[in-house]
Amino acid sequence: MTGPLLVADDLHLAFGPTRALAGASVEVAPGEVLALLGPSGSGKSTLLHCLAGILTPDRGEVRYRGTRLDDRSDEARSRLRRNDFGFVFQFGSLVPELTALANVALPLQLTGARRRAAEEQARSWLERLGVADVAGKRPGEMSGGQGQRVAVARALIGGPRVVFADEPTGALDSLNGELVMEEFTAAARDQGSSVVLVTHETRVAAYADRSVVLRDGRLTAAPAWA
Amino acid sequence: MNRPGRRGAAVLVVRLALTAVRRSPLPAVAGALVVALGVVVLLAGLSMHPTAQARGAADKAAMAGEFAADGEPGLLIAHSSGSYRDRPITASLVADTAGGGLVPPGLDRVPAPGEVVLSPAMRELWSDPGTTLAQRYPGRDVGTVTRAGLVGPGALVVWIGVDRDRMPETRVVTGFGGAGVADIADMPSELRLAVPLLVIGFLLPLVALFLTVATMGTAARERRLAALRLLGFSARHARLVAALESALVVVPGVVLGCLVFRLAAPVLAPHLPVRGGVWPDHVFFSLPVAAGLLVVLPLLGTAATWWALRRIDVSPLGVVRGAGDRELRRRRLLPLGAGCLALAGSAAAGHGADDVTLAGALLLAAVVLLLVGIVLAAPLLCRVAAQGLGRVLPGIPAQLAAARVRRDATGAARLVTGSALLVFVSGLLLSFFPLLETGNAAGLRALRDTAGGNLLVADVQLLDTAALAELRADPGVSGVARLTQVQISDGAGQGGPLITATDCAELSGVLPALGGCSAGSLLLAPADSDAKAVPLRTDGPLQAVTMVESADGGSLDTVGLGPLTTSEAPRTSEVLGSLDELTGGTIGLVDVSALPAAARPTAAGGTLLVRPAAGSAELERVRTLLTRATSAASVLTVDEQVAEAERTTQTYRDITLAALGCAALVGVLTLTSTLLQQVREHRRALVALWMAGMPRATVRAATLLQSSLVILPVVALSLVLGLATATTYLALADGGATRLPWAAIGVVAAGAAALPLLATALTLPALRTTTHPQLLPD
Repeated sequence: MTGPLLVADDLHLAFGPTRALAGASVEVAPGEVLALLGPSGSGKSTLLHCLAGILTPDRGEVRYRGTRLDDRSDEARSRLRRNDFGFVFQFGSLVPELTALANVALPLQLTGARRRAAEEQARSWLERLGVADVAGKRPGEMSGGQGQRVAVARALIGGPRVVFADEPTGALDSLNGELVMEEFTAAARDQGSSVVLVTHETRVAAYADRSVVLRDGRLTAAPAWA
Repeated sequence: MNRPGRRGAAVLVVRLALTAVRRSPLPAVAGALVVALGVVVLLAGLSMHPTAQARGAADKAAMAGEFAADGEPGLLIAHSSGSYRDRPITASLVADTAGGGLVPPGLDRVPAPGEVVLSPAMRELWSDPGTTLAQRYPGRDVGTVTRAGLVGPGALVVWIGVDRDRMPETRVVTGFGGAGVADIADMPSELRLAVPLLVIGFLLPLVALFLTVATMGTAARERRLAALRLLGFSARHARLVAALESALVVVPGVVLGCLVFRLAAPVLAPHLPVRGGVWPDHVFFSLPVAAGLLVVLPLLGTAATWWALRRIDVSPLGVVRGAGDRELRRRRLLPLGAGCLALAGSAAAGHGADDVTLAGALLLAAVVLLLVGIVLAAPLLCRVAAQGLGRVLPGIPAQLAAARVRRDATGAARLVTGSALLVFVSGLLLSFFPLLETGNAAGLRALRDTAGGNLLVADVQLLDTAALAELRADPGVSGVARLTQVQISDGAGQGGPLITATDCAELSGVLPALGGCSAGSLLLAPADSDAKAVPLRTDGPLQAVTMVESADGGSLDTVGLGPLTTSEAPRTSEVLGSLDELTGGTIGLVDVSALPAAARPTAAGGTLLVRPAAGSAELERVRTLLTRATSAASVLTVDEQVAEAERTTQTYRDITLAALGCAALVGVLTLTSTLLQQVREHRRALVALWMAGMPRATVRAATLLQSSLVILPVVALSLVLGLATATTYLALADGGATRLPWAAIGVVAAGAAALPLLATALTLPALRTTTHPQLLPD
């Protein structure tokens, strides 16, 4: 496929009186790591959620592989998240009741894989990300860095076309944050997944191929280092 | 990538639900236990009717049901009612007329004269000399009444063989299976109307309990569902997982409840405080009932969860709830308003109307609408109450409590709705009590008021004069009086009205309230109704009609009774009036000692009144003497007669109070569960307050106030509506002549208002552990 994988075109979205997006447009190419930068309240996370089909914009279009995403049914968008997308968020997002291994295996099981096969693959992903020793632990029993590595493994195990990461290192110290980012972006590039990365830290954005800056719900000029 | 197959998805959904329950076993186990308790209560309620039916059938099987035509052989049977220390005794005299082979149920043969056959419980008492029952029912113990002849394992039954010559006049029995005990069709109409309300009052808290358990652990569940949604679970899948989780708690609870009931009921049944106890296999629930519960309750739970989750948006980012419900809130008041209108319409339609069909229909509609209306309007009322009281009450706890209620008015309403409904239904149910007071036991209660409850009354069958003399001389007897009936001449030598004759001095001995009564005086009971319009002539001597025996038969004769004196003293009139219940339409009372010999009553017939000295042991001994002296079919105290007359209404009272008690118990459990759930869900906020320096006492006070704030308005509204409905009902039922039992209703209202506070108090100790920062999840 040629052309952008994911396109946001003139997105507007308000939460009551608060305007979160005011004409935001962005494109993500296949295999590209894109960083969305901006201060708190600039609309970065909202744009990411719109791109992932979690939120529906009030106005504007989101197109994925050439077809509109924002007007699809909840069922269709759920299917897309299951089959084509992966997520790494700052907090949680792991199912608290499941072990690390079960959490990582879950996306494969959701797409029809057998449990044993899914868990074998999950174990290899945990090893690859250096957290095989926490396979039997639950989210509450792991450190923040371990939890984020598990979340990265879970986001990538299904071979998604796009991984959405919202402040993936926000809860980690700088050393752990860099380790996670290195492993995350390397693994994503290895399997050709695009990454949409929301962050307010320039050192995290440095792992991206390209960065865009949001302010007051719209994109401004690219930062100087981009 | 593949789409998950339906089977694979179902397996995954079940596994996730199981994992969630396994990972949070405490709420799941607690929920299952609460459901199990609810199921036990529900099964107890459901088994009442089949148990009553089984007991009725057992009663019916033991009663005479077929009677002989002329000359046909059979059994002569005379049943009599006795009592031993408040336990009813059924004593049956039996004589075989011609060896027809008929045997009463539970006996292997008909006892011969001088023999007795006893039930096991009766034998235990009978063989204890201290009970004097062996003297009351003398004979040689020749057998045991088996189950076929007993309504319950503790039934006190004795069959006494007698010569047929000594049998009272009775029909010859040729078969058994007579009339059973009263069923619902024989209940007073007021009670039949109350049954649906009773069922509602019983079921409402149970339904609330199941719904609460089904929606427990909402916060944790929402976090879990949001995480799953992020992975591609659709909203429908998420609801399915939640519904399955509910089922996983409810199903074991139902199974456990059924099991506990199945094991405990047979053990407890014989000890139930009902006549003769209950056979273990009479307390049962059928397989369809168990299967029904196993299907209905989990369905109810899953439906509640499904419905609760449909009202919120479970997105991958979390849960969004309660958006834009202003219009919804307005609509919520509609049923309440419609109920009030229907109630007013019922009162208007019933005012002065002969046909109250329309008013009754409107009242029924009003009850249903008000019940639904209270549930729907409760969140709004809670919010309004919190806003008002939050402004009025000073202090941080009050502000905090008001803010919390405003933020989650629906949760606050959940806390109080059960109590409010309990108050409403209780008001209605208790309003039936005074209607029952006007029933057929009124005369007996009047007698009890004047004569005392321990006065023994026996209808004389065969008077044993020696035994009567022994009775009169017994130191445990403080008075004996015999009431007999004498027919007064109508002036033309024919029989006129009946008059009760007694020895006035003896009557004073058993009725101290009567006062002194000199021999030879003659008292005339007041004629206070048309039916008892006294045709006695008080302007001349009365004449009694007597039967004169002669060789060629008998003939009527008249005997002069001497001059009448009339007592007009109000107290005397009142006391004698209370005797109406015993004398069956007494129109006058004359001193038997003043009667000429020819007019004196014969040995048989009449009523013997005996006042025993205090003490239950003494009472039973005197009862034995009285039974022997009279061969009476019934030797009961006035208290026992009142209890017998009020059996149906007393059963209603007992059931009502038991149902209200169960409802209160289940209510406390529900409230405690809800509160604990809320504390768990708000633990972060509570910890934040504590870490910010707020003393735990303040946090506790705020939690307690949070419950208190919402109780007052909702319970008060329910009380007002319940009383208005009850008043309207009473106006329709008896024109408003009956007054409401304010004291009882007040107690119930106070109790219902205290329930949430009690439940809150029960959860306060949990605050310390729940809000410890180290216990917070990551």
